[in-house]
Amino acid sequence: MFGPYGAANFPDELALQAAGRIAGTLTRAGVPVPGRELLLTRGGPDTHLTVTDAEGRFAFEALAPRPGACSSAPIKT
Amino acid sequence: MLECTHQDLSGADPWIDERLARTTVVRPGATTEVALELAGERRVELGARLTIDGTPASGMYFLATHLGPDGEEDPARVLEGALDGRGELRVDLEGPATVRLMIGGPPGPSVVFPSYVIEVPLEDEPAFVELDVATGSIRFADADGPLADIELEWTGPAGWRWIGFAPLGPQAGARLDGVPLGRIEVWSLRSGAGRDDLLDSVQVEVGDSSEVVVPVEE
Repeated sequence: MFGPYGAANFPDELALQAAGRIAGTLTRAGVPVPGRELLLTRGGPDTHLTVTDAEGRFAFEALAPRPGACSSAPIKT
Repeated sequence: MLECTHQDLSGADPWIDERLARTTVVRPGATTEVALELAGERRVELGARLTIDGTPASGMYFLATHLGPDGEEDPARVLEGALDGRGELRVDLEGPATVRLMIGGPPGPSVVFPSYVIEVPLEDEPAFVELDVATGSIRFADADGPLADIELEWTGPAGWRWIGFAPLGPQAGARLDGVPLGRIEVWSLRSGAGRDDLLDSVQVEVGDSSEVVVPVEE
């Protein structure tokens, strides 16, 4: 009754994974560093840019659970 | 695995900063907490003062660029701003390093767009550089065709260099005002008519505020 794409025919591989999140604090000699750009690169166009807040906190949101590289972008103070 | 590196967003090759090296895992539906420490980075104060004809060059634009080991400018580490009301700047930069400091503009009534440049080593102690320039006039006489651009370079005290760029337009006997006194090298004069390098490495002395005439050579 559901045709070739009925629920019973969906392969397990199509199940969505919940996104992950990376958060933390950037410090220098234990002191929070505000206004520092951080870049998350995970190959190709999968990049995410964020900036540390007044307390040096940062967060990369809605990340697919896969490996990546986090980079500190050019310093603009 | 997550590795933390410095990244140049301006197009140059990224470079890894070992100070931010970390490994971690992004988990589905979870927050991964990381603590990044800029261990080893020091901030060194760079100060400068510029006066022109005794007047603080307040409002002039400055650009501080870190130089790499090869002496090339690192486009990823650039700081810019304006001189304050005393013609000064004071900024904290990452050290130890060598920084190329350029102070220039904004364009005024003069056709010369002055830029003063110096390389400053940043070590443990604050660095302060200052320059006081007196200006004069320079005139290019007997030009028998359209003049487009003149570029001049001046060597000042304590390593300062001055670079002036003058879009003169189609005129003869063009005059530049606001040229710093000293030994000026006119290293390029181009015409809009396709005649390049009419002047090449002509050196003149501008001893006071009187006008100095430089003949234009064919």
